[in-house]
Amino acid sequence: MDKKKEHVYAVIGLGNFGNAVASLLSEKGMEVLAIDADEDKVENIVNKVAHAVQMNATNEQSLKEIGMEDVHTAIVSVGDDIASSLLICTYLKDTLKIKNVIAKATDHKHAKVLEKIGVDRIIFPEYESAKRLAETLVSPNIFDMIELSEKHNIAEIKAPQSFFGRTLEEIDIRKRFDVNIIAIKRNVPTTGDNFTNDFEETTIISPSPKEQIVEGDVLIIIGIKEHLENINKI
Amino acid sequence: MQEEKEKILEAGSFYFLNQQFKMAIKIYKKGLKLYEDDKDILFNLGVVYESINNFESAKECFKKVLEKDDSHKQAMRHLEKIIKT
Repeated sequence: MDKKKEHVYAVIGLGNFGNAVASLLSEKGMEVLAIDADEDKVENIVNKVAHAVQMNATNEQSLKEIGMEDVHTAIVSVGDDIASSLLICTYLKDTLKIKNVIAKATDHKHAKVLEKIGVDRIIFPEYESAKRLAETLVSPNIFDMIELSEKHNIAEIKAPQSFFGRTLEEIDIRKRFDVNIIAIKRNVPTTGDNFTNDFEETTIISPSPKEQIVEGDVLIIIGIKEHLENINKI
Repeated sequence: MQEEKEKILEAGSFYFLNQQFKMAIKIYKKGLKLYEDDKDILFNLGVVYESINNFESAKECFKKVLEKDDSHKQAMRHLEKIIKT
């Protein structure tokens, strides 16, 4: 496989989501081709990515002419314009044979058609962030929950008070809750001139059984969702 | 710096460094009774709250610091970080 191509991305549609994805990929050293029909949106990103092009991506010929054949992954984020999204994805998969096409869907009907076209990954950013926000509001001690598979999640949980001052061995979380602590995020207190407080954010990866939990620790735990939620009930 | 205030800041930082957060909070709250809305004490209290993930209380402290001194860079940095979390 051509290694160079794996680092070449196209982002079509530069609204808030598209702009953020393109900028972040570029920051991570990827070569990004950013496309939008709106001149202002292209102008906004021109200094952040390798190539920024103002064009109508529903035009098959134009897509061929701008070097899309070098693109390994294309992200289609054309807002609420479902017809354009479907047309662009069809060109990317059928004509340009882009290996990995990721498209933003506005609803489940849109997602179903994208799936039929052969889009490799369909995302619902608004729904996904709303779901995460709702989860953190309902369970304030769960800072974040990432789906690893249908059953398994990784959660960031505020260490419960009953854990303070005890070692992982003493808490015996694996036996009690059938989950594993894979890391601990800890704010280590520091003090500067004139006794000004601050702290350093540290992460203890694969903590030893002798590690003692302190107030303010955030536990990164892997396990079945229901088991993870049980810790939150302590 | 007033001698008494310095003692409060020193004692608060001592407990904070030793991860005795409740004691540090107690000291700073006592200090605020003597030096009402003092920005140094409020800032340190905010950092203690933030370090133990009590973001609401931390936010209140940093906002008060910025009401007193709107160019307090450290308070700005901490407040921005909490809001983005």
